[in-house]
Amino acid sequence: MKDGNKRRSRGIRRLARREMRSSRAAISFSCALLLLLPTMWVAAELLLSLASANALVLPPATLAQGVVDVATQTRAEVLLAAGVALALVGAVLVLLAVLPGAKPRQIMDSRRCAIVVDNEVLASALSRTARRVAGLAPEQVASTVGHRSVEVALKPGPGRTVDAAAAFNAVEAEVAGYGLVRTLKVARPEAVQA
Amino acid sequence: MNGTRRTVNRAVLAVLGAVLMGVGATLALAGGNAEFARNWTSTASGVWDRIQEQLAAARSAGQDSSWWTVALLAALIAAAVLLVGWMALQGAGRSSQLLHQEDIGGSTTLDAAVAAQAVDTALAGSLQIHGTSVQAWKNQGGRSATGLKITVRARRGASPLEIRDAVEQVVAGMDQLLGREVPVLIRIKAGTRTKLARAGRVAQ
Repeated sequence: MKDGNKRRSRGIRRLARREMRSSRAAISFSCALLLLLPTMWVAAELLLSLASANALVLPPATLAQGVVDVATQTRAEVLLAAGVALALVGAVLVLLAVLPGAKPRQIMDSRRCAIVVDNEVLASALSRTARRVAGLAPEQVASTVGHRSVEVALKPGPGRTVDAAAAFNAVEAEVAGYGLVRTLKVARPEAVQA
Repeated sequence: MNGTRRTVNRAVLAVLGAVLMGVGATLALAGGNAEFARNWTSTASGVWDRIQEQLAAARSAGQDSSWWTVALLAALIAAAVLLVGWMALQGAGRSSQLLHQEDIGGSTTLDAAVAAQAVDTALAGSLQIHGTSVQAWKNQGGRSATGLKITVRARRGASPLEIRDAVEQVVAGMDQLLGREVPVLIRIKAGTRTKLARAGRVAQ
């Protein structure tokens, strides 16, 4: 039974972690589609040439001759620009493959479920806590939740002072209560005089 | 939670990127260096001449095409099939069934729609929640079979704690009903109105 529990909590952690990173599904799909079109086209041209039919655009032999000639028959600047552009696209793909692709979310601790919550949701909840304590209107508080930090900005109207320390304490207590797997550090709220 | 093979995606993207970088660098070199460009054309035309000789030599009997052309065609078709397979991997594993059980007396199937409706009904009254959607996924590896992803759209200013408790309560009820614990992923995201609204109506 204990073993089962351990396996379960490992599964939950895996589920949650998966939801924190990009799967690269969209870019993979687009790349596959973009490669599929020229592959099918060349295959079609080959098939047509096998059947001695007219080519759709270029017969395969002309295509191969084009690859031979492209280096000397094209203007150097065009070749250079095209090469650099292709290499840049390649570099972007390599970066997408290597970078973690972290999403702006946090994991909430739970024994039964994997719970992943958007930073945006946390920010809006913290804004509400801060403005209730400080007695401000919704648009006078703006919170940002980052990867590891929380920032709360209080903007009371002109001539009003606000208890920034109390708001800070309330926000900190609220964050601590969420049971987030990654600890968020709350920055001291700055009361901006509007 | 779904069956998307993430490692495959990243590996193929890395290979593609490396190939593109190589081709791009070669093209740029040909553009910047006339000597390299001349070498390219002379080497490539030598290769192309040899290929044409081979093609002429390997003509299949009674036809004026060669087996090499047929082989290239087959390779291209295989590549196309692989690409389609790669596309099909994306988001694979979606399932409309949450549970399937074979017994001596027959088999029992529980649709994911049942869970979706249960979650929706249980959370419809909540002031913190805009709406929910539920999707069942076939896990890879298969030991724990199908899992459930519950996506909750939170209202502006909603407490994540209260949402968590509400959803976990629903999940506990479902566990009791099913007699087993399916893996559950709860995703709490901002509803569109949370994003757009500035001075919104907030559940107090």
